[in-house]
Amino acid sequence: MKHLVKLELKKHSLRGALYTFVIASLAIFGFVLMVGNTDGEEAFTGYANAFSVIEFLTNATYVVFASVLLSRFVVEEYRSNTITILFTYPINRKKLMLAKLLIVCAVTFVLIVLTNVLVSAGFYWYNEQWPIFTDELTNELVASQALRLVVHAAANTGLALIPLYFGMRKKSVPATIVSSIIIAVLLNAGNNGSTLGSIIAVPVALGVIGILVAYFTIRRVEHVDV
Amino acid sequence: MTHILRTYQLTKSYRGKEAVSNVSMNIRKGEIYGFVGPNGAGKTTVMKMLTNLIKPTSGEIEILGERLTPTSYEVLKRMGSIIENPIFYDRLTARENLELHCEYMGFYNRNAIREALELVNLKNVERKPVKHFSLGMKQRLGIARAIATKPELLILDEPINGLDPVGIRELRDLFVMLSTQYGITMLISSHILGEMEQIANTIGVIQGGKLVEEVSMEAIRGRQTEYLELTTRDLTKAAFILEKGLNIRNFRILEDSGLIRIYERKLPQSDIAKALIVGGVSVESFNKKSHTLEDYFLKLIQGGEAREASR
Repeated sequence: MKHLVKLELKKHSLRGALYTFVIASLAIFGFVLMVGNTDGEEAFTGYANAFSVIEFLTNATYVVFASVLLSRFVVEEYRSNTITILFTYPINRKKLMLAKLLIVCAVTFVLIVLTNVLVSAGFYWYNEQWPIFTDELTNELVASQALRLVVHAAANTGLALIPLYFGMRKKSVPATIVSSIIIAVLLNAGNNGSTLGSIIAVPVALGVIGILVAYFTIRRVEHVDV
Repeated sequence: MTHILRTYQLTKSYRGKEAVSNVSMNIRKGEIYGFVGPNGAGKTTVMKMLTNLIKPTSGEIEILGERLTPTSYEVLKRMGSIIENPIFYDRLTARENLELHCEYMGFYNRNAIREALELVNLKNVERKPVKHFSLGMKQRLGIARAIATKPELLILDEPINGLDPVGIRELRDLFVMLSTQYGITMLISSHILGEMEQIANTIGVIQGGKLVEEVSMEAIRGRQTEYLELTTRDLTKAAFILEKGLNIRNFRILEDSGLIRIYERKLPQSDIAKALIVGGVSVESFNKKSHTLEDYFLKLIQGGEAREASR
């Protein structure tokens, strides 16, 4: 499997993911500071609130980014017919597909966690220098936030696979990306942090559905004509 | 002789319409099997089924002694193929594409890539991204990829498409060389019959999804009739001499093209020529001709169509 992952990465470079990571982190950081420094009513009530805003921005970004990865690693291979080369190799097709999806999941998960940690830390540093609000960051909050982060990152990685279902029906890149945007908007739209995505059961349930989508995609791969 | 590939009543239907029906083909070890038929006859569909890219609706395939199932992966190691168009990872270079191929095939001979590129005569393009290749170059690269791992069975779908005459000739020689020197069995599809005729040992003719004929080239050659073709402006005079003077009755006059075809072979060509000239017929050309595979093929296919139409 390691070998297959390595070969996949030879075909599709992940350099784009690095750019996305840098740009997304900066953009989210900038956006949060902008909201925090708007005059008038108080934007953030405290760290817990600020972190949850950072979190949903990050999740939304990477759910869409995951669909770009799915397009590149899976849908695009079908569209350009390169999948017909891959499927004439003496390698289990399920494993080939699994390698692709593992890359997408690993990259998405890692980038969600990294971006969250980086932007949150940056925000903390900024708030200590030029206070937006006076709230103390307790160890408890950090611990609970860390746990929350991991659970949400895992759930969002799972649900980021749902667009694969829409993309694979007609082997369409636009369908993959548009469906991911719809999912990201549905989960993260709302005011004052009261979004669908903040009810932990919703992303977790969708995450399970996403994993089922991946499972059935992998299972079908031996029986479907290409 | 043992068979490398056999299909039994192979059928593929899409939404109830049969694209390929009851194809039973037999490819023997070491031979070049020319798979000919008009566009849309089902050549590619059959070849896709043979490489496991699409699954038959019914029927069976036996390749290299094994029955092909949706999970037959090992047998693919011993095959090389180009299906439909030569497809590559366009952004990668020729060499990178071949390296990937060898890695996936589990073939680790360092010289294989260089040798394969030399065999198909692709030079100084190793570092060029494939997207800048012309169709002819892609075709060559595709063949290089298919033969790099020295497979026992090569399945090539229209490999001479997009090549110039020199390229076609080179590849023809290459195929014959691979067959005779390496003993590679080949299934090559084409609609260019003249080419198939020159290299194939067996011809399979497919039309409307049915294998209408499977015959060895030897048998076709045996069946061919030779005839004499006379080009002249004095058609009536020539015909008169043939019939009255030489007592030849089996000939045909093609008035539009100013030709007479003489099928009767009891008199030597020189005698006929002499009689014609003595008779004052201006002979422009007088050649021995034989039916080509093309004629044979067209007859088969038109016969098929006529049968279809009469139904």
